[in-house]
Amino acid sequence: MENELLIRCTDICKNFGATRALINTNFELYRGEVCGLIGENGSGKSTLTSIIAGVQGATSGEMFRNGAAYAPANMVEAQKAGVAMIVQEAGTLPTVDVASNIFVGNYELFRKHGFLDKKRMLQEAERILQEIGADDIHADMMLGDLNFEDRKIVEIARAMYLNPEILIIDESTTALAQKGRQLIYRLITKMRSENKGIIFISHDLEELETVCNRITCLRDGVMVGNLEGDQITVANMRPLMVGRELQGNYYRADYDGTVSDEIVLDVRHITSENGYIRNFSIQLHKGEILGFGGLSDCGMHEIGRMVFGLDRYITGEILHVPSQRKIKSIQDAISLKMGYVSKDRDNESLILNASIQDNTLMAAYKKLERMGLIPPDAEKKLSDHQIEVMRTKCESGEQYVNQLSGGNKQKVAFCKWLAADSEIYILDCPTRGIDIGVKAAMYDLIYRFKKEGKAIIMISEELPELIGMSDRMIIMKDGEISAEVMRDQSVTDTQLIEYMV
Amino acid sequence: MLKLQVSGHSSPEDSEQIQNELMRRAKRNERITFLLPFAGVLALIVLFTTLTGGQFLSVDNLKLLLNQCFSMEIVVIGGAFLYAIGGLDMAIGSVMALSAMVITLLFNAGLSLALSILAGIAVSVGSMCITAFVRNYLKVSPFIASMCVMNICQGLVLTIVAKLGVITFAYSRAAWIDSTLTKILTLVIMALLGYVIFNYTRFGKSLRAIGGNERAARISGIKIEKCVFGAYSIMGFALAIASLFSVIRGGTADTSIGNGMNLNVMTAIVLGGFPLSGGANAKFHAPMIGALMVTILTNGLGLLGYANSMGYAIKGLLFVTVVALTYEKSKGKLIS
Repeated sequence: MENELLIRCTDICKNFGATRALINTNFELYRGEVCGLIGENGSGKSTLTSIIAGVQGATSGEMFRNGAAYAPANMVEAQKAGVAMIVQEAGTLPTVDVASNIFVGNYELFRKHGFLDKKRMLQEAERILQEIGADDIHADMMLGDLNFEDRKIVEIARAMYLNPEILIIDESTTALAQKGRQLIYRLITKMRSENKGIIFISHDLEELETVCNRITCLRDGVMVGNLEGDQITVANMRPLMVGRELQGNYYRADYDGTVSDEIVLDVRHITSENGYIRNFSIQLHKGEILGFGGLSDCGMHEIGRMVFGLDRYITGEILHVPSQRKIKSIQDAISLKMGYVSKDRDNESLILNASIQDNTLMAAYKKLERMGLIPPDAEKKLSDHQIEVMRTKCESGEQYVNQLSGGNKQKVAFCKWLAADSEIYILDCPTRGIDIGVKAAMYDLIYRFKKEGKAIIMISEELPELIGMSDRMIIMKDGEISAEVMRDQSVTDTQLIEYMV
Repeated sequence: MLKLQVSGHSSPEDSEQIQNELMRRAKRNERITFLLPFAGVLALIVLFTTLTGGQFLSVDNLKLLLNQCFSMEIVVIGGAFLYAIGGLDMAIGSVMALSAMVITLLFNAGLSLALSILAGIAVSVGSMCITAFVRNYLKVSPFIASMCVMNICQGLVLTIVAKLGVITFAYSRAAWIDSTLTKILTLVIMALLGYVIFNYTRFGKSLRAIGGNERAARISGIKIEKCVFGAYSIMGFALAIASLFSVIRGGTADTSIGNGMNLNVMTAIVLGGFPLSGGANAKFHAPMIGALMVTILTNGLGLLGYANSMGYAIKGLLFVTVVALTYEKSKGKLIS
């Protein structure tokens, strides 16, 4: 029984327009395996798993399950064949209740005289939520009322209700905080003991090292390697993903946390509209990387939004010290050369259905204007320069952003503020869901900003990155500062987590 | 130590060849999408010339064609701005009727032509800005708002006609406006101005950004409210100009002015390859080419002896077909 094959994919190819996402990929999953799928953004991990889960079809190639050909037309069919997936981006319906979300596409299960047996459906949903250990979410809650994390848990429930033999987890842990993570780990252990199979995509290599018993790596749509048993170490995974050895200092190398006394932003006693953050004050200095850490609902994201003028505050003021001007709106912030990289890249940072050039220049048109007109050659020059600086992987500036991988999209989101000559950067989860290659480039850039005397607020849910990059760390809990930690070699994750929970 | 296992049997050269082939196909698709509307115009001309035994290309008919397409071309110049932000609007026709009414009443009362036109523009821009206001501050779908504006304008025109009877434009005092030269000049100037504003100004670029992703545009410092008012105002301006020429040509100011314009503009937008949701794919020339196609279709069908009513049916059918074929359903809602 032990080495029984769960699924075999042979010679899978997938093209998107001119992009070849998968090239003759072979993949196998055996019973009892937790297979970590790694690779840089755009390497084809999500494409492969979405084909297995029936989200999309392959351009060519075959799949076999239990010895028979397997070609699911959609996710529901795949689920019936015992393959379920928890997706990377939230795919829930906000305006209906939790139970309806769990069973969407399968309402016929609760058919009674041609009508929907709502009561039974609610009971069943409740049972599944209990089973996966999410007893604080209830079947009759409106999905839109749940926070981001709980919505992901509803997706987990959706994936689990038909008792899948193969569970695909796609980068979920980057979106899940502690609570959901524990839940996923419990699920993995349980499924493994039941001799089922799991495909796990994550950028957190430490996590994969502890959870997986096999690692498979994709690079540019090609399967490049397999790690098993003792070979599964972070040190082995990194070069496999990038295709070369990475240099030692991933984060900045120095431990000098001193910054100039010159204050750039003075946030004085601000209170958020919903009252969650009260009387909050902080000062940002020239050449400082100010890190904000905490659980995802600790209020740090809201601070970033208020400082940029995106969310309103009802008391206090935010003062741009060099100009003595107050920041009340996005326009104020931008005219004072501030830039904001949102956590929600696809909805708030980018126009997906527009070119790299259009996206890059969105905040810089004022600068390019000559007598009311914008010369096209100046546009192209500025945009191409940014592509070069960031080494964005693309055909040309005319390529549409929706064709780029996550990491390259994030580069474009950064480019927008570089092109606008921003001096103060508010970065909300700047490396969320991007791979180590691009991450390293981002850290490099942020450090360069610091050296150039720019000021950076870096809000992050990843503690190693905060500790690795910040001059000063503000740890938040329940809308308040619970600790302020200066840069030091001795700071550890565990220390900071104490202040977070 | 590391077990490297490269799967896939294709050699690097093969791989490059496949990549090049895919690129070529993508480029070709892009070119086809660009050329398709032009090919459509040409095909229609050839079709109707053959079917009418050359009558379609006669000087008289070409003059008629200019007159027929003129108003719509002026309207779609404004329409490009409105539809760049995805501003599907049902009030276009009735705003035109109201504007024509204002111009005629004032001009007949002895006001100078320039002042009458200015008043027409004011009323037209004002009416369009009602929709912009509702969209910006009441957060109601502009489509719904435009329905209300349509009813308001129509109601006003009907009330005035009911009170004053038939209102005829004092044609003799401004006959020069109805000349081919004036029309061509007006069209060329407006098209050029529109082209420059649409493609080479911050405003024009901002509109397409709003159509693409309003939230991202706002966070990038684009003043959404101001731009929306701008787009609706330009549409209003174009409508007023078009209404002047329409009333002079038609003779009387009533609800027949602008009749069918809503569908015509939408059809023109779609036939020209302009996305109804706006965004970066919105090209300025597209609605103008589309308007030409719609007019040729109307004119040609007329020459062939099909009644106007049949023309509506055919245009309606064409609209649905083209939308179904071209609209990327995954990208979002048609009416937001």
